[in-house]
Amino acid sequence: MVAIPSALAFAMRQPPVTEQGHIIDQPIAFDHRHHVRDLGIDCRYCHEGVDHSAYAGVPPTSRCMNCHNQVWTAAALLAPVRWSAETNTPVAWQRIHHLPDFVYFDHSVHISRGVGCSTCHGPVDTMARVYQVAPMTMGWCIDCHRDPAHALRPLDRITDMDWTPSAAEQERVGTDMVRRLGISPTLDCSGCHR
Amino acid sequence: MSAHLHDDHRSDGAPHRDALYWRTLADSFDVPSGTREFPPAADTPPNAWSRRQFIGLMSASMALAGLSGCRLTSDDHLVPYVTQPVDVIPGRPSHYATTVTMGGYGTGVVVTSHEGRPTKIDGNPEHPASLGACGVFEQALVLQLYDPDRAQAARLNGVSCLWHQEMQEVATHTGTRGDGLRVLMEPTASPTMARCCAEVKQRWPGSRIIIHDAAGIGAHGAAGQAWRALFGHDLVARYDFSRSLIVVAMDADPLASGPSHLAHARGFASLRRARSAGQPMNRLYVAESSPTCTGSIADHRLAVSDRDIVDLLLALLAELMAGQGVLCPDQRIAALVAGRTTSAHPSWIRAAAADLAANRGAGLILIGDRQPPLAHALGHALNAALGNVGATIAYGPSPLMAGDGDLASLMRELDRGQVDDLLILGGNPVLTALGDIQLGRRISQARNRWYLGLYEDETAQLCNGFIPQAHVLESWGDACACDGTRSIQQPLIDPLHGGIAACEVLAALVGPPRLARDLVRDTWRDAFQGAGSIADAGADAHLAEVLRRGVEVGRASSLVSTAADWSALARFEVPQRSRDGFELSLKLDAKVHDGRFANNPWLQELPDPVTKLTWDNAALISPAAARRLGVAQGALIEVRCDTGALTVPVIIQPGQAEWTISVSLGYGRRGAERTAADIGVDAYPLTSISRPWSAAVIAVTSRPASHRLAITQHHWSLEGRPILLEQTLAGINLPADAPLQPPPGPSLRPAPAHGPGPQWAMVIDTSVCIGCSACVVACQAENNIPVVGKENVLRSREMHWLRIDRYYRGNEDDPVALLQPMACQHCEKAPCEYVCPTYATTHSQDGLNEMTYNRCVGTRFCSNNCPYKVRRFNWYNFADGRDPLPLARNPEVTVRARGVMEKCTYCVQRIRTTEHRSLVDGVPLRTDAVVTACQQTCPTQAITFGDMTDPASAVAHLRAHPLAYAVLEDSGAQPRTRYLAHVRNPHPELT
Repeated sequence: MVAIPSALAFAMRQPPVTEQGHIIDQPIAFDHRHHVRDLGIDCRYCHEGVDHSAYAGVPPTSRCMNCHNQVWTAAALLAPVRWSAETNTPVAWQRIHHLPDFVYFDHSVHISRGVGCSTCHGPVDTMARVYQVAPMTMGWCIDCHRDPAHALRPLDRITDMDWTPSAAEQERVGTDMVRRLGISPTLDCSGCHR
Repeated sequence: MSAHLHDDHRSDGAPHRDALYWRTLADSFDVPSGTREFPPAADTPPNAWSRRQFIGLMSASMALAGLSGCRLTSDDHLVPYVTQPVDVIPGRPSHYATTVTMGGYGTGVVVTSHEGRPTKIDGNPEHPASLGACGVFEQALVLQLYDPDRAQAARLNGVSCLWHQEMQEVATHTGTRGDGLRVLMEPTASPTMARCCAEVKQRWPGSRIIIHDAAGIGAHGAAGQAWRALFGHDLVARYDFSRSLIVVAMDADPLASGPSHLAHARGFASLRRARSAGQPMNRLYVAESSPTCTGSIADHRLAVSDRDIVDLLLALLAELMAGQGVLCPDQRIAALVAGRTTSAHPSWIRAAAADLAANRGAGLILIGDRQPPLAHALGHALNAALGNVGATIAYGPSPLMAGDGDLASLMRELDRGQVDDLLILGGNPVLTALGDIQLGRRISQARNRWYLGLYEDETAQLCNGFIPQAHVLESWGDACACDGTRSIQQPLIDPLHGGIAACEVLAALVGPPRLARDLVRDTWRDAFQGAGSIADAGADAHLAEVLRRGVEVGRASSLVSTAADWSALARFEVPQRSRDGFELSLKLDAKVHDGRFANNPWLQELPDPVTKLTWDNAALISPAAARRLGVAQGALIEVRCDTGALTVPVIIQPGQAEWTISVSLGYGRRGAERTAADIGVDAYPLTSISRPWSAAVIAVTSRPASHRLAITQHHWSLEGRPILLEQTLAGINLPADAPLQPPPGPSLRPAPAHGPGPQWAMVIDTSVCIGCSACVVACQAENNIPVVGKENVLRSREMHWLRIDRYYRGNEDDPVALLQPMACQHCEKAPCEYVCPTYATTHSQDGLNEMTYNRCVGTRFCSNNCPYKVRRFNWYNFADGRDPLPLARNPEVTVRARGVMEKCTYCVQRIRTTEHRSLVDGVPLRTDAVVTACQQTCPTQAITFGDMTDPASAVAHLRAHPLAYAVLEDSGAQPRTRYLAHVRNPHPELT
């Protein structure tokens, strides 16, 4: 009687179900490796809402064209971007990080408390196509909300993809952040569900 | 005096015979008493569905329930802008100040827009007609915008057409003088519309502009006739309730209807918050035939027929002159008084007269728009004699555009065949025209009939040309408030169905088509250049500032000094002595107004503020009349009048005047609107030019049939427990250590754990709640509360998180009404939380009783255990809506699915968003930073919300007041919502 629900509960948290590592084709073969690692473009140039809105935001076509009306103007790879700009048709990207509709996640408040991009999204600068790294389950969220110190970093390192402190340094920095910013993440249901 | 309010029904259903307070007339009549929370067959499907449909729906829902939880394929898209608008931040709503109009007058609002999608309408604090509050109609406009039944295409003779080409065609064949051109429109106080109309008149001097409004407010009604006769020109009276200590309302509902009702309610409430004896508090006398919101809060309400108001006014004048030595302003009035004295209601008249005389210059006598011009003249005479004119009443110029005639004059022209082209700009006049005008029959005498309307309604069906109208949230415009303050209406969204603004139609008639935006800008520029002081660039800058704030602040029109010419009194018809027998009293509806909102599901399902009726209209009769006629609640009666007959179901309404049968207008719609179809009966055919608001009843006969009325008055009974408290101003000074209620007994429950942050709490002041229900609609809009339909309301399945309970005290013919907004009380020791088997309802550290929908499995134990009966269960997927209705939803709140319990959250989305903003911006959370939707819209500011641990907060201050109490305090649930006892200010001689 107990075995079947337990097995189901276990199975529901495995990567095939949580879609960790699942690679999805996008309408445009955008390569984060090139833009982030090679060119050093800050995450917030494109995901500009991340520090003042619940949504990080996906860049409008005009943001792509800021550069690509100057460079790679004839690249075949960029034909869908030019088509979007010319026909005023938005690009329909495939969503990778999918939270259920009853979860209200706010990017800006996490950024302001010292949760870095790569903490949840992984090393995006190494991804040819972005995939989901973290399980994005409630238990995974709650882990940090119960013990935030292990997930925090200085506010000037938020978008740093190379932030890999030693355990001792993480402990020191995290504890300091919790104390200095008075961080007490909500454990109330209504913190995320409303 | 302090009294507990007990609900009148015990849990066994037996009436509480000696109850001081009661909700329904179950003792005396066959009226449903407090229904059980889940009445028998509550879980059966609606009648309209066959078993096969039901099983089909169930299996579809099951399949969806099974699938929506997991996701093995990604078909979810992120769709960014191509070019992101400059001021849009995805995920953060924008707010735009604009103006909505009713009866021509503008009310400033602030509209919340999520990525270009308007979702919520609130008041504009800077606008004099709003002061930050919003009524039910203004708020429901957002749902009207997305109404799937709105007209979508222009047509001529059944074939789609290009409207501006057709307008030019009309212009071409109209000729040089335009003798056959008539424009029929709603009242307007829009400078742009006035300019466009003037251009039409200039081009075609023979044309005429006809103005029609069923409401007959201000210059277009009886008051307008009275002021024109007395003062020689159109005026608008401005009432200052914040300086009126004695208010006498005669057949008027100034706090909940009319273009300035929000400002009236605010002013009234400012003198209604006495919390200790000796503080100034106003006293409200109301005489009316059928209870209204204003009547519900009156200190002394008199149930009199509409036809007796003039006599009552004359008696009041007589008492003031004879008993109080007030000088009559004119001999002719004295003669009128001498000829007509009545001995009815002497104590009420004596008390009101004494109060008015003792408060000269601080009193206010208001006459309702349904009363004849003579009543308005007498009201002015009273106010002038008491020195109130110039103190609490001021007269200003009417901002409404004067037309060339009314519908009656159009009727005569139609009969003479003088109308070739009739251009109707909104208003659905075929429905709302007075019965004996028979516009529906006469309109075809015009060769060409064009109608600009939101819907393919009754008028559209009789017009050969039709143009879809742009919604008020879709188009540019402007308007004036009663005091002449101008404001701009700006679009929140492109027209969803290619709608056209009225000013664009008029502009296309006289020249090449122009956009409403350009027309409005030109009007405002011209006004400045006309003023001469500001250059063009200055005008544009000023316009931009007005656009940003939504209103031209501090530019009310100057007052007009008035000198009444009492010889005009002779021109007013003096009503005949009251006849015996029933009078049919017709009134605008509190929910559908003149019928224009009949297709709005929010408003149809909103319980009427007085009767709590949904999805219907009915004949309101007094208990005495019900006995005389031998009819029960819901029985059909045929009311035969001199103007026609009406078969209508009965509601036995406590407080209804004995000889008055009241029916509201705007139902029984016959247009193409699907929601409005088959709801109620149309009473317009019984109106007439000579008596627009009443008809003499010849006979009332009971029909052997009955009609099921979905009335929520008897839903959600609190099962005979003490609920609310009341006080008189004289008895208010309680010692602070004498509690109003016995404290709760010892509890085995652990003390609630409080977090370090704010502790949210609410206090509701029942002394100023007028029951207008604006909060109910605000809650519905903010929290995506679904509409369930009549069939489900009959089964107590309505979903409103906030309801306004209405209790009565005293005898059934003339009871005192008590109102209490009731929503989740957020108990510290919440009974619902202890019984939830899945931890779907829990307590947060900041004191909220949380509801986590995705954990709820729908046992309904919580609702069963809730002492306040405020939890609502989704028996079906009520949230499903026809496109594009779901666009009206607030993206910050989950849309609940079938099988889930829900209830008031204290607008937790607003709390969390405010907390996040304070963290991100690095500023401390202000205790008043969170405003709940109900609090925000309340015209009387009855609701206070905030952090109760902050001693500086208003909510902490009010919680500590001796008048504060918790409902069912002895149950030990420790509700976070407290109420302030209802304080009345009765005249000592009338108690």
